Amino acid sequence: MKQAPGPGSLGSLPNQRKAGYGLQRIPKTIYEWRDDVERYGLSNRTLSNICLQGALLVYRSVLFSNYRLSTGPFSASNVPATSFLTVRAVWPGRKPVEAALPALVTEGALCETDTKCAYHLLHGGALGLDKLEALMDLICTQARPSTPVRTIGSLADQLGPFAQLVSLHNLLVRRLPSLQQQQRKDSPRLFDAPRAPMDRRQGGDEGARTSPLVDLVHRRTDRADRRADGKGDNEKKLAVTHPGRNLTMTPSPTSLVSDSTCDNGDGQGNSELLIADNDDDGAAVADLPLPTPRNPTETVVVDFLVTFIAAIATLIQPPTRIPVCVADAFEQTLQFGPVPGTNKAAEAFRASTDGGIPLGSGKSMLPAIIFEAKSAKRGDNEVSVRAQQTMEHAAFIWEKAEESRKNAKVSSTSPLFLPPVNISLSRVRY
Amino acid sequence: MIAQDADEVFISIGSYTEAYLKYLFNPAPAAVLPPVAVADDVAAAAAHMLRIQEFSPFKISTRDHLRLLAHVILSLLVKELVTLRAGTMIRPVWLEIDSSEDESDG
Repeated sequence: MKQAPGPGSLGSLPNQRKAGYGLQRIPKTIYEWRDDVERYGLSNRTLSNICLQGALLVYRSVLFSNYRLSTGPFSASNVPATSFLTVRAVWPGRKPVEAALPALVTEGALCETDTKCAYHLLHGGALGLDKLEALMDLICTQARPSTPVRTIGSLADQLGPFAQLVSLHNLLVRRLPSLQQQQRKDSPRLFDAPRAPMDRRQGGDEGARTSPLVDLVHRRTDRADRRADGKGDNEKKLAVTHPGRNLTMTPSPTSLVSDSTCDNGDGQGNSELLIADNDDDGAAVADLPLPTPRNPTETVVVDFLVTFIAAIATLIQPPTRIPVCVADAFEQTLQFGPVPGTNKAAEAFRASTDGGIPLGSGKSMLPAIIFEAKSAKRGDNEVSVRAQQTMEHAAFIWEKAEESRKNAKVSSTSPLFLPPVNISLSRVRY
Repeated sequence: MIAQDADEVFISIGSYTEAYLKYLFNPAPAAVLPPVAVADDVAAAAAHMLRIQEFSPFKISTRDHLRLLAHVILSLLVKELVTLRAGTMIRPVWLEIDSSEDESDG
């Protein structure tokens, strides 16, 4: 599907559009969402129209905003209003930080014993977690009552795995504004963020870009690369290492991705559901725009988050060659779609996360918690940020459901989608 | 999802139901507007929606917020680690709290 060109059309520069362009608000309630769906003329549309924006919508958008809409695929960072509304998302009012833990318990993501154990460890200063207090002495504005900052020993002596956070905090709070100015002046994108490494011992040293497995991890979509892979050594096993995860996969000639757990008994993997084996459809998927990689200032932000979480994780587990649940900053591209029942595999979009925490036993290719980093405070960009995050949530749900379905070995010919076995029939969350 | 915008951290939890998954994966694509929403049945329509609840902002320069963020993250890690071999260091604490809760319940 071609993008509609035009004088001054933002559609010709998809990566320069803001997420949710043309959107006046993020709906807080179903009523607001329904009103917006009707306003944008989506009442009779279906999920298969997620990438479709017809002339009527272009006309409407010109009338009601300063934006012009285009047709064609998009990524989460430049999702159009119509596509955002199509995923049926509402954001109830923001709750205070104190409500987060009780909500996680209520939703079933945690139990009381988990939170009490964490409280005990934190406030008892066990397992070196007292170093967190030492960190807060240095970077937080609220002083610890009647306790002077300790100045004996080095930064690393006092803070252990939290030591680097002092420097990162300094970057974020004091130097970030000037870094952003410099970046705007020089170039919007100085360089790409680091990508997940290939395990070179397993034959991945021909470059991450040409590996079907890296396509799975990052969904990098060079069509020529993909074709070359499909005609290459299909028996060659490639592996990628990821903190807490180590997966070996065998590329399939009929699909972009396939692994041993996908086999449904007849030698055909279920992954054809995700990536169509029809060449034209596959080409359409391959043409999906990749989300813009994060910039240097966003890397500083995600470094803080990853270092903070990884420091906690490494303090509470014994020495091991493969520590688990350690946060990482790997950008991972998630894909929503292609939507079932459509003839066009292009009914899909991609979203890029800035990292995550791989929880559990490490069997999943997906992190349990995903990160998103922005170098600037939200300010007036809340609609755009939430629209982008909505699409990341949706893509994550899609990938999780696909993964669960493969693991459950549900037949690819099932007439109706069956819920993953590990998802409650009532309310589910991640 | 954990999002950080400069020096502020946002936690958002996405909740959805089987009905929402059916909307995504049904081979016959359903209408964007579910009939129950047209019929003003908000409770029924909620089952067909993705609900994203945000808790924020955790300011990383504010001691109480950073400690609370650490508490949330540590709780999530405890939940995962306690059942794994890597959880040997925290398991005694967890079991002690769990048993004391059982006694108080009894």
